[in-house]
Amino acid sequence: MNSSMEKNELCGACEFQENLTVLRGINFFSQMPLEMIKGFAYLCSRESVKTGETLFQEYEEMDRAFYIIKGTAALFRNVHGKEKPLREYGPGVFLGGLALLGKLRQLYTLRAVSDLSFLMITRDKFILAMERFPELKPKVIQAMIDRIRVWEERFLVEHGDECETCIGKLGAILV
Amino acid sequence: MAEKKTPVYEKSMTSWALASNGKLQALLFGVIMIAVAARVVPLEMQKRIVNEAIKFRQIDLLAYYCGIYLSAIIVSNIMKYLINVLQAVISERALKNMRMALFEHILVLPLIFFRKSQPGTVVSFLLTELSTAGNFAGMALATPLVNVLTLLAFAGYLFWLNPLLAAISLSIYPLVLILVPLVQRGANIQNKRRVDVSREYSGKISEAVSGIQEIQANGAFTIENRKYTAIVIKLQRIRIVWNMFMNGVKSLNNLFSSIGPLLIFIIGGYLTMRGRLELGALVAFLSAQEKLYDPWKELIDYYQVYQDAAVRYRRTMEYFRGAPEFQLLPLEQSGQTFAGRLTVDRLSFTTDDGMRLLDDVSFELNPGEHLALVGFSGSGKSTLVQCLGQLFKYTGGHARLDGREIADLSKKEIIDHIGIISQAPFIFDGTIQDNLLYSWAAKENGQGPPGPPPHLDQMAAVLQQVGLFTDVLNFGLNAVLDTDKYGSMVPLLIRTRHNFQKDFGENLAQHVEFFSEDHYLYYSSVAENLIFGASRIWRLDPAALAADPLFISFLERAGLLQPLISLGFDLAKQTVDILGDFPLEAVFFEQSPILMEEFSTYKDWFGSVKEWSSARFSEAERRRLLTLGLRFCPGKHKMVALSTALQTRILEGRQQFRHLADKKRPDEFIFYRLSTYIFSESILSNILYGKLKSSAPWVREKIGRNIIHLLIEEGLLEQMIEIGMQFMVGSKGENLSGGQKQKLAVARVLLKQPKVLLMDEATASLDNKSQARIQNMIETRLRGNTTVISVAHRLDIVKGYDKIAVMKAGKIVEIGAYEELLKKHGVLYELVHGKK
Repeated sequence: MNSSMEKNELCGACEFQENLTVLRGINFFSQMPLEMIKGFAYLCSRESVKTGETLFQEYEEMDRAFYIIKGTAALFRNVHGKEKPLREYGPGVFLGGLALLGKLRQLYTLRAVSDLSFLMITRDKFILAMERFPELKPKVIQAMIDRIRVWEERFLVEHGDECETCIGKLGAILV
Repeated sequence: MAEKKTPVYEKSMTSWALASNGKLQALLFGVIMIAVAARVVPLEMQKRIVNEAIKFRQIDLLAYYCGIYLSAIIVSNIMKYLINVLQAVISERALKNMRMALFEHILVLPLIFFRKSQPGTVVSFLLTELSTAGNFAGMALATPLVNVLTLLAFAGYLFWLNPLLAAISLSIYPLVLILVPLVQRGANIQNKRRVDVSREYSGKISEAVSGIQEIQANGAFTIENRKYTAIVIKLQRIRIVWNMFMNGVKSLNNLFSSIGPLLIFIIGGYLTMRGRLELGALVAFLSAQEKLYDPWKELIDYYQVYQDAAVRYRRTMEYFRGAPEFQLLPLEQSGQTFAGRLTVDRLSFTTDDGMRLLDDVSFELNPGEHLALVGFSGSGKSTLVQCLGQLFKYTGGHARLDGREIADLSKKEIIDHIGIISQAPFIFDGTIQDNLLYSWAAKENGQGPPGPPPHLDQMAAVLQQVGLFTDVLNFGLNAVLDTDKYGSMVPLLIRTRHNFQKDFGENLAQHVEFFSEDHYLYYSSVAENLIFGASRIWRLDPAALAADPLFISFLERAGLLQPLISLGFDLAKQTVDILGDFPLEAVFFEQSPILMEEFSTYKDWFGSVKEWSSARFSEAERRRLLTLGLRFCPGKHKMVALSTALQTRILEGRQQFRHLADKKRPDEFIFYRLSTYIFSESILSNILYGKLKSSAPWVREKIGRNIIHLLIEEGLLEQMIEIGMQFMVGSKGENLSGGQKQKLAVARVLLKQPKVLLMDEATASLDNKSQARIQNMIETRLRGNTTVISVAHRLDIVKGYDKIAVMKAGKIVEIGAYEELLKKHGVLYELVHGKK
């Protein structure tokens, strides 16, 4: 095994190394072999937006995933012509894994509520890289299934008693 | 009255040899006659030299006959050369004419033909199979004529010398004439099989190339290799048998031709011994008899080429046999203009396999009315649009444009009045402008020379309507200014730069790294950091710099040579380590200091070199590593960190380089100054006086938005669009995004202002904003002017249409206004609100 990346003498504090550390901590990537994560760490880019700027827009096709490094972003949804804030995301959150797997028209708008810096990877790069390792596809899909299941389970545990109507509509894992 | 043209596939192969080559063929005939005469003269001279000059020891006669002999040889060879040249010209002309006529025919073949044909097969027929027929056209007249005449001349001469011997030596040829065609027939059968299997072979290659993504994704290399190998082996076997027959013909001919001299020796020798034949006559006879072999052999070769060419030609024409489904030009110049009234009455379309894709479809649209087609996939929406656009010929019912049957309209009338936009449009190699003018040019200049293009304002307006204006502007901004053409823009661009810094500098500093003499530029390469300017003479490419002795000695003195080579090593090692297992795709090399085409060299190299300390590099390898070091751009190549010490040394080197350049190469360099235009950099970098830190679309959009205002202020917008229009889109538009390609396809049809616009999910691949923009344009600008039929992929865009037709299994199950259909609670209601 090539362990040069474990403790990289060529790139003590380079951005690639930092990206690698971040991706290894994200559930979506962590189960992949190191060679693959290295590829994604290289392919993702660091971006920044100012307060009020939009990362993705409701109804737009989303073709990238984000990992928030610094700052806060808020999720909005248009309700009866008015934009309604739903929740906020801070550093350490990974968003958009599903959009990496295939075309996805967004249901929400994500906007920076403070100056935001984030890591970003686009679907075209992700899919091309995945073609190199087709045997990994089941693992990636499994990771996504787990995420959805954990999300729904947590929702049930945390909000199960709050809203009868909402509970009646749940069941995303049965789709 | 129009002359009825014979379809290309009906033409005989020999007709190409004569068509438009009349004068050349006549000239060839004259040359051949001289050549044949010149060939016989040496035979007579041989006889006279032996019988007269040598026998009677006449030196002057010897010189005289030899002079004539020599002249005849020279004339004969010159004529032979002329014959070859004329043959080649005739061949090439015929081949060109064949290819042009066939290609013209292929373009109008029904679409169904292309669904069944592989592109490789069409290429193979046009490129390979036809070339033999072309070659034959050159020889069609010359070869038989020259060789038959030569043969007759020699035979006549032989009879004149000795009728008995002549009769005996010529008696072999009738036998050859019987046997050769028998063997050739076998060769022809194999040749037909060879053409068919070659077609299969090129089809297989095309399929593998077109489906390479699927093959690689499935790792189906063995399966594809197996299929390919099977065809190659089949082809190999056929070719071997074919060659056996072809060589059989040659061997048979050789055998019989070799028997001729033997007969002459036996009978002629006997006659000479008996004193009934002069020795000189025997020599001349043997010589003439031997000369019979060449024209005879050429005639046999000609026969084989003819047979081969005929088989290939017939197979080619059979493959492309078929008439277009439409008339190209109107039968009479009616000059009718159409208002755009569509009447569709019990229209149906059934495929050759009996599949009924359209069934009893009827509706009417007044000029300028808009109809949306909705329904599940496979319901016949696209087929209906294709039938109305004359892409497929409907098999039943009627579709009329202003009362005239669409199937009977000429193609010219269709392209003049109907515009079709498909979901996956094809973009042609060339510039944005070439593609934008594609439909317009076909309409305006289809049958004649190209006229002046529409005014730039008109093109810009269409780009604006489809939302491509900003993209084209960005292409212009990213271009390097052609100073010969746009030199007058330079002072205005410098002013734009100042205004940009003043108005937006601070606000956009997060996205732009401005050039600053005292700071290291993380989004510029090491080479750019060192030079901090541009050469007036050559492009400062890192590879060229790494080979420049002056630059190398400068690096050495600045203490940078070794550190940069070492940096190059680190970059190469890291990049190979990261990308080693990835496929060679351009997208993976956007952030790599190693270019895609160089990668395998580095990969092989680093298989053997593990550590910098133990490595011994050749001069070429050091230069390669130095190139990488000079190319390194920390903001883009994230796999290696640039040490502070090296940054400082590079900044010191910047000053030293400027002194060196002033001293050694004064006036060669222009150094970055706020007041100087940098000719080697893009227009954008010049306006920004810096580089963008990110290539994210929203960053480009934000910068572009701000720059547009400044360009308008300086009156530069039109020129920027003009420059942007020259952006090369690449093969199949590979340099454009999916959305840009789609918008370009919409724009090119809008530019020709059709009376009927047929859209087959034409905005499906566009983002929300772009879709809304085009939808809005349709509803405002086109309503009342252009009849629109649009296959809708989303139900929320159909509200603005005058009529909605819901299709199911090839039928229209519901048609009416949106609100009216919703009130009915029918199929549209179910589609909008979900099935109850």
